[in-house]
Amino acid sequence: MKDPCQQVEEVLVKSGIEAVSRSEDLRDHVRSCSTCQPLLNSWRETGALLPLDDTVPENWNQRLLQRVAAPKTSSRNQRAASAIAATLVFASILGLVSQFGPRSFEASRAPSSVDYFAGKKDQEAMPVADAPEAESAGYGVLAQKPLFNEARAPASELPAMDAAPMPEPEPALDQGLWESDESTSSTTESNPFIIEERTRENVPQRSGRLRVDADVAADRSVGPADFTSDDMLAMPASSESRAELDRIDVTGARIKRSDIESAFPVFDPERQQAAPKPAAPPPAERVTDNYSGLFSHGSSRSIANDGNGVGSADLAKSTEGKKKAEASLRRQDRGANLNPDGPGQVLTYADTAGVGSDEQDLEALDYQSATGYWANPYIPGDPEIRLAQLQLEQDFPEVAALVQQLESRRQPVDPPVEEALALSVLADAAAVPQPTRMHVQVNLRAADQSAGRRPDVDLVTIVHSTAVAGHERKIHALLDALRQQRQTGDAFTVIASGQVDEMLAPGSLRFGPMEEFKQRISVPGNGISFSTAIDRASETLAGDENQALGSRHVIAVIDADPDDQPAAEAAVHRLARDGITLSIVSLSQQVSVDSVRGLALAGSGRYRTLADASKAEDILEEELAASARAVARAVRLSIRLHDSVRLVDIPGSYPLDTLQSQRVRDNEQAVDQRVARSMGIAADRGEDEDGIQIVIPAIFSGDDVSIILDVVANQAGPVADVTVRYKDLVQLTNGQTRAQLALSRYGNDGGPLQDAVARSALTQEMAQALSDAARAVKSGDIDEANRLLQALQSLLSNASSEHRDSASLRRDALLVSQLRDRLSSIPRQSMSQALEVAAWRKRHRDPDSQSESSLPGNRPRPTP
Amino acid sequence: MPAAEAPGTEANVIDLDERRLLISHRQGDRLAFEQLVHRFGNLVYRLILRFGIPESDREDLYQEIFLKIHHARYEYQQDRPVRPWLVSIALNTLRNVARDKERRKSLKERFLHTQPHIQEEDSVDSSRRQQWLSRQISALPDLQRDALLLMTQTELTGRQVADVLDVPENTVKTLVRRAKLALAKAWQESQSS
Repeated sequence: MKDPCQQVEEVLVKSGIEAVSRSEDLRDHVRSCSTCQPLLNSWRETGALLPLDDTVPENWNQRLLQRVAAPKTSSRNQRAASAIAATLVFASILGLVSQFGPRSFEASRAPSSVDYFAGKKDQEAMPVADAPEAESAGYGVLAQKPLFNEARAPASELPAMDAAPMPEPEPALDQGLWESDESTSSTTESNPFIIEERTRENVPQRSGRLRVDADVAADRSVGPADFTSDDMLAMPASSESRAELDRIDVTGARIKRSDIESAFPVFDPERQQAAPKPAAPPPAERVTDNYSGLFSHGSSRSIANDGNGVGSADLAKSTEGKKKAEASLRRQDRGANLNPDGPGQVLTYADTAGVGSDEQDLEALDYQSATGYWANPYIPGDPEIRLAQLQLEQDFPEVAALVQQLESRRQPVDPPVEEALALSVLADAAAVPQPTRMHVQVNLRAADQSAGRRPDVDLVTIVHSTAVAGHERKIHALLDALRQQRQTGDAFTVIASGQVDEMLAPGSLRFGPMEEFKQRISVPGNGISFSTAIDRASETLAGDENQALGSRHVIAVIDADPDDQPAAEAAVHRLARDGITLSIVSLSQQVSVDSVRGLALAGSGRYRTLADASKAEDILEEELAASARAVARAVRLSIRLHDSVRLVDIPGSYPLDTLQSQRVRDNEQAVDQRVARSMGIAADRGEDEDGIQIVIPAIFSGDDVSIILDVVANQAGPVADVTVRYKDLVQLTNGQTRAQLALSRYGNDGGPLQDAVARSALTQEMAQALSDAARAVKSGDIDEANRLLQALQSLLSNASSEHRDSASLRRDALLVSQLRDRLSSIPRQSMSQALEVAAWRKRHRDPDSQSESSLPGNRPRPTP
Repeated sequence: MPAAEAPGTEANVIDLDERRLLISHRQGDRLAFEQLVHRFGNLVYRLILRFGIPESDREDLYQEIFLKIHHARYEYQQDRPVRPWLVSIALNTLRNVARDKERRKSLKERFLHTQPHIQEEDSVDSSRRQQWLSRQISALPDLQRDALLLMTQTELTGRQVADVLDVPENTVKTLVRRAKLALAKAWQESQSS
């Protein structure tokens, strides 16, 4: 006989719980069975466990709809698919050419290229190598060199595109993911005079291939034909012609105007002549101010009087003056007077960024070689400005609150889904109608990856103390925090150096001996130098070569500059080569930012400031967890500029000399080898690459890195080709991402992406001006600071009338004005601090900002 | 006389309205897509939740599903109800993700072996009960899991679920009951422990 419990289960599965209730035998059994009764109860309960009242979190739908409306960005796969599609289209065109006899193809191009030059993907990646020479002439210009050996059309048949380019296509934003449907199209209803294919989604499609129906082809003796927006024709609005166009399928490539005319003889020449001529491109005006060039994407505007007695920019500054202005902008001269023309002349963006100058001015610029190693502008960690900010909050809370309102913003780059890093290349110009100065922004965005439990760490803490009263509390707090953060498996060592006797804290960090250590660290004595302490740390950490990167770490806690800086840097470099990272925790404002930054850079670590003893635990926790947050190591950026593009500067970076370059190479290879040993990611470094090379030791979860290049593009076409190679710690593989930037000759006025780059550049200039003003205040030159702030205010006010994000610019201008008003009313030291803090806040995202993600990776980047 | 509809595709008023939305969307009406998102957003979200997708991936997946729906709009047959079609897309996407997750699990385990510091997020949901449920549902055999979720979370009829899963309607019922039984047993065990 069957087990009744089993029977209950079978009936449950076969007929449900009601069947069990209906059967008397089973019902009786369930009542008395200690297994079945709870089972049936659980059955009912689990049914209630599946609620139907879960609702989509707020903003998800909004973000989804924004994404659908946003411009489509091409991924590697999409590019690969488009390359395959291009091949197929070429093959079909070749077949058609052979089928229908010689035709006057101008140039056969891949659909992606056509889309690009139709202005649909202004900023989308385009293989630099694939861009035909003719295309570099830009949108609307017929190819000079056909890719195939087709018969060329007589010159008389070619429309004079240089003189009368076609109207610009609709902005890419309207298109977004509503990609063109290549199977069907219909004629636009809005403008009967211009051929403007529209897909079912109402997306304009001004280039493509005409496929004529068989009956029409037989009737009119025409075959397939291509067209581009170059060939936009006037046409009557008759239903007959519409009917003809309804038969057109858009499949890519291009053809001459004459082919369309022959294919569709219904076009009325009179109407064609009567059709409105497309607007000519703006003539190559002499650009009056470089600032306007930045925000108007090449068009000319002047800076108006700001009502404060500040005049417009002098449009006709001499070349020498320009040179001086440019020279004053050089990184080396950042501290110098930004206004080279002296009092009475107002600083404008013309004097700062110099974007958009005419050819003569562009020739006067100092160009740099776009090759070799450049300094890494990204050092994660807490900013040095914390101390100043704290001081300001204590002394002048009102000014601190004012400064607090200035903030930076995250770059518009989505985090990657699968890989560790996402790369994008953008420019603040949408087109290059003439030699144009522009900013090219390379953005790297790290994946948002949860760190999880931190690994066991072998840590040496060097306390380099000058035994100056006032820092004991912070040192004690750090040592207490060390004790609290210690986990099973960790090995912590503390070494004292500097002007206290050399000491080694007990490894166990037990309470009694540790208290003794803490007492003695405040007593002046004769200790070892900083470089010797680093060597000791190296000896302590020497051991397993295959340990994961970041699991052997040195934290140097310093309250004054090390006396032996060069020796210390060399020692830190040796550490880094051995796979031991070093971070700096500064305790005092007396520490020179530049010197400790150099140490942190050499040690592939971070630079932090302990402003308050209560933050000691947070700092240590972040330091210890840092290795778990790294998503990419040995990140090598290779930026190749096209031959027609010249590099003016990379703000925030500088070319490395031979020794520095060699150190970067050594560190990179050390990381490469170590990652290969510990994680099995194949070693692939050791070769230099073309172009500008920047090596970033590690990028942490959620961080983003922006590098802005100030360049001059002489002509339309490819601008930059950026490749990033990295050790992908998410996928455990060698990662590589590539992006290119190419600009057409004629484009639209630019969209949000161009604005974002322009805004980044403006922010950088603003931060620089604030820093310069801070320096001027510190040196006692209040007039100079006032002039700089006045010019900055003028710059922001004028920018607000040009820029889409005018509200925030106006707010910034107002804040600058309020800071200016307080120049004379608060002590110099505090005012200088306020301006420094303001500059920092423009450069970095505030980790305390609520708008930022709460991920631990979102830490600000310090001043490069 | 209107063309006869495919079996199992009888339209009610709501269904006709949904069809109208999708057709409008195909014709380029973005408002229609927005309405579609609002109408089916909760349904898709529930499926994502019950599939045990980690919190960090949910929104991405949500977007991915709707983008797939957007891209597949021309594949929709007008004489069929929208909901099963849409649920099929969501279900296939979720299945793929679940498969990828399994594949990646081994990679991650390997990774954790050498890098113990990067671990998968432990918490799937803040609620322990939901966490438990998601785990149990993920552990069910695929067909049982799919049948259970479609029957309880999508407001599809048994016939429609059968169409989506390509199994007889009675099999769907059996699958659902088997899934419920497995859940009940697991629940019983968790309660007793």
